[in-house]
Amino acid sequence: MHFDIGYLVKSKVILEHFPVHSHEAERSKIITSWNQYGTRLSLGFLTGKFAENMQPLNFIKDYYGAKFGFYFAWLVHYTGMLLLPSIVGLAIFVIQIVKMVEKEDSLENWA
Amino acid sequence: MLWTTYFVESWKRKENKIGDMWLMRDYEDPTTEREDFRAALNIDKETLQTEKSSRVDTFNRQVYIGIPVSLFFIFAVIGTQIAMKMWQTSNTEEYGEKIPLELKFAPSMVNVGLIFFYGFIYKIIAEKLVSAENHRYQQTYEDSLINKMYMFQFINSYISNYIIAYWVRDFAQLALNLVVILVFKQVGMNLLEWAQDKMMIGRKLNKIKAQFAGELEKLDANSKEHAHMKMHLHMEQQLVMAPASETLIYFYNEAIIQLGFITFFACVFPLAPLFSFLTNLLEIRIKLNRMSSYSRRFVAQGASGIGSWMGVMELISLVAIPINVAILLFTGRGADASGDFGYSETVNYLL
Repeated sequence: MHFDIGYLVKSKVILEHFPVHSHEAERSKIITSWNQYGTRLSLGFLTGKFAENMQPLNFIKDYYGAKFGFYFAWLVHYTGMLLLPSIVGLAIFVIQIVKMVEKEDSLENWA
Repeated sequence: MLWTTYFVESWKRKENKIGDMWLMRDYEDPTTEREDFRAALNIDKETLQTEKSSRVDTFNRQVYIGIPVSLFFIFAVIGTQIAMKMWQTSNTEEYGEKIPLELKFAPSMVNVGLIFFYGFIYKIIAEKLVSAENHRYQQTYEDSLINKMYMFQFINSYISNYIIAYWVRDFAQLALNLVVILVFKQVGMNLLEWAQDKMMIGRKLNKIKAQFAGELEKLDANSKEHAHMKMHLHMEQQLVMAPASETLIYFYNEAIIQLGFITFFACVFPLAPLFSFLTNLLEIRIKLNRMSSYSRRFVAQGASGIGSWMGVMELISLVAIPINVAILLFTGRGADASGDFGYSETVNYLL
């Protein structure tokens, strides 16, 4: 038997059709494991030891499919990698502030 | 810039490793057909089998409607930005050096508003356009949407910074503009998502739960009707959740635009990566929560990697080099003359 679901929706026999979520426990597992392993995972992408802390990503992959899994893997990788330039940026910022203060001091001395 | 290249290249390696772990490395998209593909059924005279043929000319619509409309929007954005620049210069002429603080911040704030506004309108238009193109396969549909979104966002998000960097050539103003956009856009976006979830969808969910609570109490907890009613509640709740459409494209788009801000204007605002790091951690939490509790379930799809976004990232890391050099050349010189904020020192360090 073949149903033309699009036709049934249009003729208002069916209100809507979509895949439903599984039980609450299954879903909260992802967030719990992210809370537990998230930091280690982001650092792991920086140091190369991410394979040991893949639990949250594996749960995401199992529940939402590999496409979402790769998105989150990429996002976590990106976030972890951001630590490198943020350290450099922070250093530059501190140097700027120090220079600025020095400049103001010297200006005051001149006056 | 070095970092971007390292980031892109190391991702390639990790992508393959994860693909190996998930047994997805050699996965090829089996050309999933789109549900709302409108087609006419023809019977082939020789093989006597039915064939689907699109009702509209996809390619022609893409070239002759999609591109002009996108270009129109891009020019609208550029026009608005030029008007903004006029307003700014009139401010400087009126007040001279002593611009009041609120007027100094106002243009950047308006910029954030404009980015949101145009982004919102274009999103609706782009979705209409792409669905009018009537793509047969998921893959071509996504590629068309990605091209349209990124082409537009590339201009929409960065144009005000380009104008200040290459036309006004004011390093301090550029930094101010960048900080305001980055902070307000990131924080605003996250807050908006969070509020939308909690206020709109969360309230509806609670309302339904309250409706069902009374009926659930009447029934015996172990009876069949109780389980049935619980299932009914579950379904009703799913119905009010946000529909799962092409969410992933917007997720990627958001992150890639942020990556662009960091790499293109790296030399202007050194704290940008740190700030993005913090907001990203927050964002992952919000997204996970949103996907599991406030959005309908997504149809699970296979993939062997991040797909077309790889090319976009490589493009960013290439384009970042001339843009950064040009900023240092054109805008950096102005900072030496005014000599404030110690930015000329930064330029020296970077060079």
